[in-house]
Amino acid sequence: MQKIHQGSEAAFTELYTRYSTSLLRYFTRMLWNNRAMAEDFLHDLFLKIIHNPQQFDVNRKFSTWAYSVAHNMCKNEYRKKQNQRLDGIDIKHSRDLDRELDLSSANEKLTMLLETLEEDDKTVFLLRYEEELSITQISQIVFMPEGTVKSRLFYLRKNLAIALHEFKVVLKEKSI
Amino acid sequence: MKEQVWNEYEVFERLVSEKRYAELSGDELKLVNQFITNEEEYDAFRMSGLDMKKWFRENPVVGATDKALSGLKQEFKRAHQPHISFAWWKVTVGYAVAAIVFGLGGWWLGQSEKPATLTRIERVLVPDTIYVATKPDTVVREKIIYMDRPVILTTTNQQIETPATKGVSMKEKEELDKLLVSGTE
Repeated sequence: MQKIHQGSEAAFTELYTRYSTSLLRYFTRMLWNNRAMAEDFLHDLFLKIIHNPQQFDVNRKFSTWAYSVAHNMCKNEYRKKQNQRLDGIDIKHSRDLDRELDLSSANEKLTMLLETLEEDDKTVFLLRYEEELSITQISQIVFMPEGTVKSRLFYLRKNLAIALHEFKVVLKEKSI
Repeated sequence: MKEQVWNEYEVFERLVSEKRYAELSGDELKLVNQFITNEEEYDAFRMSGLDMKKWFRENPVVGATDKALSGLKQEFKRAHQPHISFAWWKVTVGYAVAAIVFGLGGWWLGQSEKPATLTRIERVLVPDTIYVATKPDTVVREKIIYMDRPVILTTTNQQIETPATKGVSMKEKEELDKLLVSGTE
């Protein structure tokens, strides 16, 4: 980051190559699999790095800082969406129920479960199990104590495990 | 759940992903049982972990395009270009320096040119008398006499005779008179 601050294009390219894919993946999952929106968010994030490199704290790990910025961007988007939809929630739930009836694999069930997660839970879940970040890093990204992150992860896993287990039982019954 | 239990959550996570319930040692079982109540729950945890990994594998997100990177690179170049500042004091200093440079340049150019020499032309009367040292043998005198030549300015009063102004002869006059007389009778 110091090199980027000094204007090294090579350092910027290196940073982009190293982190763009994982950040784009995070944005895509967080933003309802909307690829175009995820690309826009990624672009905006790197523009922030270009124009305000001084915002980066050299004592922090770059990935932690970048995910922290990404998390805040997503949070704003969720807030915006929440204000927009207001009375669209019921429609969404009924549509999800319809979809659930047609689900034929654990994969589809998991997709649906991930889609319905709350913003904070989704962030914690994805950062831990897809991006494989440490608990310490996640707590710094979402500004939560480590204990809270751990308990959230545990209950998320537990709910997921129960939902998947029940779904599999239903699937088995259906096939019989 | 007790606060200190969470300290071992990461170990629990690792055990769930790596070992089956039957493979756990006594200490590990003790640790695991702080989080779950029975083998079925442990297996559900384990299976959900495997399903998750499978899901992430089967739903990959392709990396960003090179086009996006090239756009950002251009932006990076633009952002790190040395920019020109038009602060008033800088402009003032610039004009002052330019004025000094022109002033000094003008002064130097003026110094390097040689001063023009001024000349004053005076009319001096010099006598044209020639004094001959020895007595000359021959003295040739030439005298030019200008004579007046009268110029005669002659004016010719020539009239061009046109048929209309041509005169009438006496004979014709007489004939005309006769005609006139006969006309009145």
